[in-house]
Amino acid sequence: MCNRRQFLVGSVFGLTLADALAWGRSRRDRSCILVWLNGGPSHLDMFDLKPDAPAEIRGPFKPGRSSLDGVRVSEHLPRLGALLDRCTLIRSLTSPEGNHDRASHYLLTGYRPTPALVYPAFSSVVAKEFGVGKGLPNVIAVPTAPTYAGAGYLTAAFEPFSVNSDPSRDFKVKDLEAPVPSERLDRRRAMLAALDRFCASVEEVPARDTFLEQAFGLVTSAEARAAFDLSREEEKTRRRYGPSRVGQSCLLARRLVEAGARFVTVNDDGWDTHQDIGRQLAGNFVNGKYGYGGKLPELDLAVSALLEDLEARGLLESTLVIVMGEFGRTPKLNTIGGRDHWPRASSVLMAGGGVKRGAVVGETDAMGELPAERPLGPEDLLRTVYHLLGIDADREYRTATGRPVKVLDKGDVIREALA
Amino acid sequence: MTRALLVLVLLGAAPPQEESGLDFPNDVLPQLTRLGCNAGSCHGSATGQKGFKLSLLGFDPAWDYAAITRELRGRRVDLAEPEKSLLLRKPTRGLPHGGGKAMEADSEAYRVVVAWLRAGAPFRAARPLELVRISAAPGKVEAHYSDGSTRDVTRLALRSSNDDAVADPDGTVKKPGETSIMVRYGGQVAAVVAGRPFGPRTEVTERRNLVDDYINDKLSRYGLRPLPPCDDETFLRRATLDALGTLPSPDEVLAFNGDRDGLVERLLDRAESADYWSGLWAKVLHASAPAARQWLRGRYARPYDETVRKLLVDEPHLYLAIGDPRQLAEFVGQSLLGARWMCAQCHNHPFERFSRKDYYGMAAFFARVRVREGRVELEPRGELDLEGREVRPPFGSSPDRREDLATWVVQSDAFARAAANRVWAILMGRGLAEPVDDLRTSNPPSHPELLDALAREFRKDFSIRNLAALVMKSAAYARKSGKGDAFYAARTWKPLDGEVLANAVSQAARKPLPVDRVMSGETLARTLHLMNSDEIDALLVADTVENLYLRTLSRRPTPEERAHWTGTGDEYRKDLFWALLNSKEFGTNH
Repeated sequence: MCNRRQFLVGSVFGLTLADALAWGRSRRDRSCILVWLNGGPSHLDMFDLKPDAPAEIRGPFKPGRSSLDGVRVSEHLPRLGALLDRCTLIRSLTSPEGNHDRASHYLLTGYRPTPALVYPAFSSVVAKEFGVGKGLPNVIAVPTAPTYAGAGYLTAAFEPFSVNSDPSRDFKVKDLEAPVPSERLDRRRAMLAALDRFCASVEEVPARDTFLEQAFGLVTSAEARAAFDLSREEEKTRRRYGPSRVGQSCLLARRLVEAGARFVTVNDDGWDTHQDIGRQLAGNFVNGKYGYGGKLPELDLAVSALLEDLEARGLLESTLVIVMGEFGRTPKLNTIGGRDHWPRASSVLMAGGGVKRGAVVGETDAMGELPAERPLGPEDLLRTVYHLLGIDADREYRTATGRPVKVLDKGDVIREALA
Repeated sequence: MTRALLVLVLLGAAPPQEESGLDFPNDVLPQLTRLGCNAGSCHGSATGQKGFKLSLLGFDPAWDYAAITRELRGRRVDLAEPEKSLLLRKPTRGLPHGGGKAMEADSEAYRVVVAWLRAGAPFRAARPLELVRISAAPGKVEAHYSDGSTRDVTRLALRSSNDDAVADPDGTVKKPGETSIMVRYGGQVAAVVAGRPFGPRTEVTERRNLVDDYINDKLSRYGLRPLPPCDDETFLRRATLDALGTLPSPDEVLAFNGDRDGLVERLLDRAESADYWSGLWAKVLHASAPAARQWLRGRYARPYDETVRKLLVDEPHLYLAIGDPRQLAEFVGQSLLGARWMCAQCHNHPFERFSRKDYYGMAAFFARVRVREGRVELEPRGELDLEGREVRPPFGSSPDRREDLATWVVQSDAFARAAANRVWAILMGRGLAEPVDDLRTSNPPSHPELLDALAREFRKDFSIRNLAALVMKSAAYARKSGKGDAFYAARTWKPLDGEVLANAVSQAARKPLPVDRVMSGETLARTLHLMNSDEIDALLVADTVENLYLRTLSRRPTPEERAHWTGTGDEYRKDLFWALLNSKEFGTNH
């Protein structure tokens, strides 16, 4: 049975209003995991290989197969290559910002840096749009937020919560548990409420009151705290993500999203590969087997495990996964076997959360220097992310001085990346 | 009806010249500005739109004239058939326009543009008029021209309210209170104060010094009654936190005899006060490196103008902290003069008469400064470049250009006003002008005469300490705290800074709190640290209710509070200590 309006909408667009509403709501229920490759990952050695280019450009790695016809990724990313049919790979992101901080600001906020204003990163926009969370914080950084991944001109209440601990070694989020039994915690809380009542001259203290409520939510919710407890994962699962920092961080991100967090940034250092890029990226690769270290084997294990795990738990469609860093790296190897900063071309891997399966967007020229097709800016990428998360990017916020600023003032949704 | 109104409107805006006397800067450009064509989000953006770039809000009429009449081989204007000009067909959607329909075909703007095109699209009319300034009153904006004539440009001017809950841009006041309305026209700016009293005029008489004359006058006019003075214990805590960045000790609380002026003088004379205030000023002056901070600490008792002159000319600290001439110019503007010049690095300042050329002119004072191995050296030559042209400083002829700059800076009114505004903001919780580093015509202070008076007092000896004493001895400083606002009827409480908060915790516990970065920022992690950490837990001691109050809140408990805290035992008292450290009264200077 449907009413007249549903009938009308249905007859015009082929779906009912209820469908439309449900779809709109489900977008706003999505979470996001950003795997941030801090320092700038080399597009030429990962997702945009140029095997036919001269040796000083194609670098030390051979292309490996992927599950998409004609699309080849680094030989050191076999698991991700096999999962490429579930991802959208963007190969034509371009930006003029070649300094780590400035590039991070551009990519994380969608605005080029200006001295007059620091903009909020998209993670803090998620906090502003969906709330900071009761109990488990909605926006979390593992182990800490990258530069410019903060609240910018918004209030401090929208800063991400940094776990301040490395999930791959003696991981413990400090200060989550009350040092006293629950009866005493209740008494302390009642005492605090009485003191705040006695102090009538100081009314609410905005960020402090938000944090206090969140903090009590955390210490009194065993469930929220359990989300930070990696030891509850089976040994098999922990091994599947790999022993590395990025691996265990991705596992933690999955736990947090599963428990209801809306945005988790996994901030992985070590991608600023100015020298000896082969060894830094591949690690000890001997006789077809990995030894230790190596950014690519670590990332390959971590992100492939994350995608498969999310899918197995039915969470992939509701979780947008983005893998990127602040820029790509110079096509030509430098004299010490590394690659320097190169913002003119870089690659972004996206999956889940309404992203098209098996799409490749854009390509670079023969040397991997510039987009040859479909050049895309950070604002296009972020507009797509906001679209996928159901956030109106044309919305205006106000700075502390009352200046109206749009969530984004430029950019178009990358339609080819949408499912 | 609509048509009749339109005719009236057109008559009202008829330019003083004959019809053929329409010119570009005074007639055409204001219409485009009013329609938003040259706003930052449209063709006024740094890169323009689709190859058509205008100066932001019409700052540069000559540029805009060239863009409209010459670029694209002149296709934007069609003098033979004005209606076919791209300038009209695009915004009326006769042709596709990324900005949508921005102009109606029967509008005043449309007719002005057509008439101007018919007249041959001149830049200047036969009798050229130069806009000299604009004046604004609520609901009315007038342009003043070089020939002495004036013109009502109310409807063409851009107006925006600093607080649209209080007043609309047209000056309509919506509720009691006060705000200012920024008015922009033809690259000129002005501000209008708009407000309405809360009730009939009041007599506010409590006066301690000259500060109160200005504060009381405004309270009276707005029909407000201030809160009574706070009690002695509150004043002691407030003044000690403000002067020293620490809590008064329980002994000091018990010994205070109520002589507030004497207390202020004694506190500000203590060495800890120079430590704390030179630390606050180190942040303003980018002097956070240990050597710079030590230098500033040593100079705290010396006149501020002399210190700034040495910082600019004789000392290396500033140049070790900031290397780029443009950033140095921004430092001079923002930190020393309360002027945010940084907008003008990329485009002319939208709220001020400050152009890109002015910006680079200020940077040119630093063009020859080089730092080599920790020492500052001057190059014999070298200039900054703005779009292919060398930029020179706007004044001065000294071999070391920084001397000319330093002389100009410390003698300027803006210098004393900016410093006075900062001292006021540190003590009163908000600047007379807000933000504290954004003093401009279009952002007037809440009490302009008070800021002038404070600046005058400051110029007598350039002593930050004496200016702080003046503010701290006023009745306005000593009121009970409440929901404070820019009328200062109540004291504005403020959260303690990270460093002050960490010190206060250690002081209350009489044990050092291990240094932890988490204490520095206002974050959820800090709230959790104060609530749950082993470090805080280790500091908790069981003391009497009276002592715990004295240690943390710097006061004795009220009878009501005494009656409330009836529990006994160590655990109970430790828990009370915990609650006190986490309370909003402890975490604020109120």
